[in-house]
Amino acid sequence: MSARPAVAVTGLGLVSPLGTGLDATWAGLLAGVSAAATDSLLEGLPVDFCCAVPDFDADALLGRALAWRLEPYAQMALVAARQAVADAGLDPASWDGARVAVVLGVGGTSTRHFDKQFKQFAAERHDRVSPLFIPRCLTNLAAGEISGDLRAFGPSLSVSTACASGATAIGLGRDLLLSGSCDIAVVGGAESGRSRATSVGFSRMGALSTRVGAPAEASRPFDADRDGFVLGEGAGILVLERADEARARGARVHGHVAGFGASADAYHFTTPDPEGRGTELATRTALADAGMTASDIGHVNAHGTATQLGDEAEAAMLGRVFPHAPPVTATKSLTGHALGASGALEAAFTLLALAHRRVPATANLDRVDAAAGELDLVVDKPRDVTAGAALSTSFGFGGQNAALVLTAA
Amino acid sequence: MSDLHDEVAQRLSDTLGIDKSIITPDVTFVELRIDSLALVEFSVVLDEEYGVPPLELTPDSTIGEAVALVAAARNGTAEATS
Repeated sequence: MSARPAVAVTGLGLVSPLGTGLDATWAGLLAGVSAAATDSLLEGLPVDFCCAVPDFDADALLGRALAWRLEPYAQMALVAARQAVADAGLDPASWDGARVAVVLGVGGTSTRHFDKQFKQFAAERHDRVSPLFIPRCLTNLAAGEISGDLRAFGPSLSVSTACASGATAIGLGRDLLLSGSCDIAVVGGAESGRSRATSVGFSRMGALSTRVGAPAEASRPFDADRDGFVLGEGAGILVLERADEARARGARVHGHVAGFGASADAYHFTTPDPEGRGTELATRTALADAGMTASDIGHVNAHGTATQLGDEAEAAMLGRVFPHAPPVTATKSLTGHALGASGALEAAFTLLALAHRRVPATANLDRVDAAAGELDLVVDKPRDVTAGAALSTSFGFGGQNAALVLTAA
Repeated sequence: MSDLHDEVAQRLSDTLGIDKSIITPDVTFVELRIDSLALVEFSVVLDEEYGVPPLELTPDSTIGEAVALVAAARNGTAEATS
């Protein structure tokens, strides 16, 4: 396969448990401290901690008249989208909106409102059910809100591949640009796992860490004592443009989306293929798409959620594909797992790492699991790197996988 | 304007983000650019907080009429709306 043209990332917008904006996020990545903390919203539940976005004041950022009707994930998506477009130096008041696409990855429906609404259903008080019950359940509405807010009249799509959604959206947005369907693609992911229903639901699956009382130590990707993931939230938005056009308008470029690979395990609805055939296919496809070989990859931002089976399968896959053992980091140790947002957040983290030539360390990695023994995991402190290409992996329930090859500007 | 008006106006401002300074007794929900979905959302708040029966308010109702509904509900005579 010959390489596709690289697409430039000209804008980034980030809302994550490390903070809001690029500077706060990068500082948090370098500080290496997990954002997980006990959360009063989850009081009394078996898992009462998560990674929340700190000091996120949607009323102040969006205005109350807009914020009231949006679920938290959609608020974060909108804030990140505005950030990204401003960061790209673009002005929705003057651009040709018909040529602007929005592709947003959202894994699951927002569940924050479920407690209150389901009480009304249980009490048969149907006259008290919010008229926004259905809009708040629709996973595509955030993409629609972004389109409306930015006067983006081009394709407005929502993609759902569970925890790979954000990365899948970036890949599909890239393809829309290369196919000529748009000139600017506003892409990324948004989701909030900070919800009582979501915590209980994943907890009942046995997917969450149960380190109640020590939340900051709970998210331990590739550690021998890991016991599941920690819920997170946020939104990561990238503005993509064809590289030659970005150059022509003198845009500042954060880096490039050089390759994308998507695949399906076709194995089980929640359990990853222990042999990692699907994730390997996505990774090798992304490399081929970029016209690269494995040895070109200078570091990896692993999916690394800290589940037993997932980390084991990913470690084996990375060992097979990358015998030169590039540095590997797992930033969910810091941010928790922002579900459908995570692939986009981590793509942005990877671009920041490439731009700074510094890879953030994985927190809570006290004793590397034997299964990950062949990986060169970045621990204790950030690692300086020189190579200008990196891989970010994202794998979702449903066995849906995405891999992105990203390069420095 | 009454204390009750202030209270209802505050609820409206908190729920839908309407600037409290423009919420006067004579203004209608339509004039406040409150659409039908937003009005239902606010009606649920009035029901939960004060026991105002749902579906009493229309987009053309005034804030004064909403306040009268709240007053009537408090007096246990919610049917006797203005």
